[in-house]
Amino acid sequence: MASSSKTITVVSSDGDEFEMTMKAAEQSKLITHMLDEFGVSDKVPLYNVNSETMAKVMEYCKKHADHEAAKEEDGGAAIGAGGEEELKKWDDEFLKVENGLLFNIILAANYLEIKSLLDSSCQAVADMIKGKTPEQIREIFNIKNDFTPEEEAKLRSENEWAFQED
Amino acid sequence: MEDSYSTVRRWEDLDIDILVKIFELLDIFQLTSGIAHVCSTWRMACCDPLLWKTLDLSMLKSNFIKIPLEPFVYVDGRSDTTLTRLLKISLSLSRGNIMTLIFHFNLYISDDQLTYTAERCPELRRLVLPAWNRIKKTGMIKAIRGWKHLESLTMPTIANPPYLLEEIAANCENFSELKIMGPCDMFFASSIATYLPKLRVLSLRCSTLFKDVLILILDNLQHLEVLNISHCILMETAPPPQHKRIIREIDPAIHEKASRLREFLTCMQDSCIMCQRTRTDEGLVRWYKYEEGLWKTDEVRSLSL
Repeated sequence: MASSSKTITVVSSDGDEFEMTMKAAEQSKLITHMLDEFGVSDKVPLYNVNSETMAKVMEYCKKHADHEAAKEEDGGAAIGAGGEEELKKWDDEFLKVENGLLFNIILAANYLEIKSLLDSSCQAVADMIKGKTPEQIREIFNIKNDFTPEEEAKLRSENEWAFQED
Repeated sequence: MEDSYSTVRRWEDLDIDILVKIFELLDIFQLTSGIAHVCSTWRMACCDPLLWKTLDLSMLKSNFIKIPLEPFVYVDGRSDTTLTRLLKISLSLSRGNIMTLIFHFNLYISDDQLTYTAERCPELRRLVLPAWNRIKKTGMIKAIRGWKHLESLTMPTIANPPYLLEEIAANCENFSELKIMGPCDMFFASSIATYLPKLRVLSLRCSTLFKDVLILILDNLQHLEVLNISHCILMETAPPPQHKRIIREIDPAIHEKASRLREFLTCMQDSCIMCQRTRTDEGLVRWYKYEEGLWKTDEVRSLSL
């Protein structure tokens, strides 16, 4: 693998360029594949990710790359027992963003194939959904109720307390 | 592909795969408490087969009291209603895709609930149902008849097994795995030998087991590959005044018979906590006394939850 001091450039949909180390880039399976295919000299176009989201993703990849590097050093002594927990706390804070950005982060994590980011951001959304009524969920995520009155009636019957004749 | 230039993100348009990934993180209560009522794409994601391969209701227990008459338990109406509601929604969202169904040992499902459920799980491969108090023979027969693909059953000891095993033999071509959560007596064992001669996996762990029953099983189930008698109290008949006594060690003759098995799982040690508990509970373990979830373990991997 190339040394971690090498950097590559990715380009967002807004045309902005972002530099990232190889180690950070390895956090994304997609970027890794693209580099394998096309080499590191060219700029990697990521036209599905806008600059705001890209900046956040860069931050995530750098943090996780640094964490991995620290783990490899001293056989993990640098991280210590609390290291994984600390990283998780960092992830939780990192994802405390407004919903529009969270949405974009999920899409970007999916597109760029950054498994840990996709897992964490999905968990963040799951936590937001827990214990909420449909109406509350619609409000939080600005979702339109697109059921027809007939469908609504059928759904309501699902919540009946006794069995009905189907 | 998503229009990355738009500034308004629509959560209802999130990739179905990602929505399913999010919903996989919810438990059954959360999944059935309204997620499917948010909008039509979320409902579609809620019905994804991936979410319904296993319906695990093992966190739900009946609110019940013991009574001295059949069915020996009385279940509080509200607790029954909760289960009904949960079943209704889950079975509706699952669209017939459920392959594994798991109930808690203190969930006393009614005959009607069983029938309703069975009709909506035609693809069922594995059933874990430890409490049959309120289930009638007719209800169970009807259910088995609908489960043509049933492969694995975890059940309590019942007094009259032939009707059940006969029905399984007639309907469930691929049936191969049985776990009995309670003592297996000679009657039960010979019924298994009669009706399920092709049985491959049998677990009788944590109960009283008589030596002649064990021998009958080993002699008659020629296709048996895995037999689990871990933590069982192995007994044999004895002359009066004892009438029966505990066997401390499995004799070589039995090991010889069991040598053809792929796995013969035993544990009969005084120092083993599970063995001690089985002895304390006199061969029928009272799982409610112990750690939550202890009842789910099994030394046989395919039977462990």
